[in-house]
Amino acid sequence: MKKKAVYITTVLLFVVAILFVVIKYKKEVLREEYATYELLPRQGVLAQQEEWNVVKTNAATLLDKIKANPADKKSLLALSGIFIQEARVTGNHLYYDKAAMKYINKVLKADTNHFEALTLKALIQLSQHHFTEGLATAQRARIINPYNAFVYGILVDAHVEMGNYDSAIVNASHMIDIRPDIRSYARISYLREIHGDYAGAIAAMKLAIQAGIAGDETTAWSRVQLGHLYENVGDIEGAAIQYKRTLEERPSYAYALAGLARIATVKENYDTAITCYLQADKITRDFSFKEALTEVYELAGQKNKASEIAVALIETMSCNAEAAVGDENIGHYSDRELAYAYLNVNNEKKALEHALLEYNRRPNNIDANETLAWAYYCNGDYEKALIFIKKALRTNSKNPTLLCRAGLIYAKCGNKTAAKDALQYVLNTNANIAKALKTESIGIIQSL
Amino acid sequence: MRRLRARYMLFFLLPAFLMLSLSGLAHTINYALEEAPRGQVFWYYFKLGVQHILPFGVDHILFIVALCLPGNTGKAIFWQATAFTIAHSITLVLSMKNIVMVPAALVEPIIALSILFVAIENIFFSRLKPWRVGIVFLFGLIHGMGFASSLNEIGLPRNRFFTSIFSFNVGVELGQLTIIASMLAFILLPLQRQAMLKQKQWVTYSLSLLIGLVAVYWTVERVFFL
Repeated sequence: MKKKAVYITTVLLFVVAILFVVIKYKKEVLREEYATYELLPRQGVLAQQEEWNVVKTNAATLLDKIKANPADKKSLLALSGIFIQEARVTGNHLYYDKAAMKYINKVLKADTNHFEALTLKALIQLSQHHFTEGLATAQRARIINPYNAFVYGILVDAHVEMGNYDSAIVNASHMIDIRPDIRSYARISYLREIHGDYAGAIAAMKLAIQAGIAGDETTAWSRVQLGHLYENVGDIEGAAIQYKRTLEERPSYAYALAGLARIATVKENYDTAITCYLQADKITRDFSFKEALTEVYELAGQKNKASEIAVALIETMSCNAEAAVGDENIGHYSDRELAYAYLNVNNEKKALEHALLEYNRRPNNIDANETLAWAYYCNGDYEKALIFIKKALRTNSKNPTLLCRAGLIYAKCGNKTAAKDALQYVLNTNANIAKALKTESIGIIQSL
Repeated sequence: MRRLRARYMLFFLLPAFLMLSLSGLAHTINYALEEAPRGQVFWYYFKLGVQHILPFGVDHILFIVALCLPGNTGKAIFWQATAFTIAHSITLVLSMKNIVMVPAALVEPIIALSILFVAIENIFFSRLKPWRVGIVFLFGLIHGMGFASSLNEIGLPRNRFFTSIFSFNVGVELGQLTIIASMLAFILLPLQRQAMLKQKQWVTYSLSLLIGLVAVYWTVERVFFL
């Protein structure tokens, strides 16, 4: 009898516990539904920028309008736009992506075919590396309005990420026909770059900058991309000029500081490089700064610091990726970045695991193939590396890092001619590549 | 009568919970494996299924161990394992087909609670009750959703949907059978003799208590801290 009572109590407690879990979850969903997101204060130099006051005023006005009329679609989307831009400026994607997505979803709940809401949603999905979803959302938006350049831009990005390069070119062509502006020229430049046409890429990026407004974040981004193109063709001074010019037009722009850090690394001014990277990292949260920082610390002989940062970086990226499992609105897939981060700490097995995850999501993308090939190479599986590096080279990209990796893989697989061609090409151009890769490439070419 | 009501509550509550309509999480597509031959797909998901139990599925391992503990007959274990398998296969397919969509924030704490429930049942009842198979079936439905959320991370090839689900399940089964076989070989059969009854009871109590404590920890962690 006593046992029966205990059993019934257990069952009841179990039922109550389940109810508690469900109610707690429902409450959280409700709280989330009614939560309002505001701008977070900018830190450091970003707070001193003139545009910050404008951003704050605009956001406050929009929030007031939303409070007065929660169904005001125009204000909801305008505020989402501010959040998306703020995520880009500060790097705080976790907060701003969630905030923007909440308002966008609110608009889409009321109007499932709202064009602007769909394009903004696709934009966030792409920034979170949810490429399949981003492509599907952008395609829905294109059906609603096939005469909008912005949506073609998103389609270009989505197709590039999914490795549908022919479709990307078609959409870029539509985009530039509708609106030849900074965004369309920048995309043309990238497409030319991955097809091995550096001269054409540089010309298009110059047109993009001319079409932009000096000091604007988009223009600054394009100028930094131009600098990067110069680095890839070995014009280190040309690149430095672009980064300095960017900083004149937009002081403390994190990506320009990172560019200067790369130039300082080439010149073996490691202290300057570290200072620039630290400054950039303080301004904008971007995994690539920390990853580059580990390399510079390593080169500067500060191995402990390098491994400390590398481990912390892996933790942060893993947390962000885990968030994607729990909440599709905030998670950021970072498997490609994680693969390289694990290679930095010599955990080749985990690197391969993440490279495969990335590849499984987009097997036609050249970057995903390059990462997988390199992960196999680092694991000593050269035959498999060869399969994927060939796929990575299919657009005839002349990216120096890709070519070096290809050269090393060819060499290990016994294809001396292909190895020599690839490595010689990069070493002759004196393009800026990671020092360890360059040293390995020089060693291999001498042995061929 | 009251016991009957409690049982009915359980049977009705969980399916109702399953039907909770929530925002859709479309399952990830594994594009790479869409181009792979069927054998490779089978092998890939089979391995994944095994690994999902051994060594990574600690919560599923504890659940199966807890299921085996009071099972003094192979038949009882067989029926529980079968109910669990059928149930988790159902929700795995339904979840991957986006027919049943329950977020991890709900599934994970309930998986922990299910382990706790079985552990408590083991402590208070030395012999299995006839409804145990039904309860295990319901818990299997929940565990299936847990399998689905991790499978979703890897994604499934659209053209080999059933091959991948089937092979994943076969892998999970192999993992489960390994645990059951180990339990039989190292705990249940050696303690089967009449002379060892006290020791068997002691092992059941202490292991169930340990599993219950871990489950409490997981429940609290998954409800409040994840």
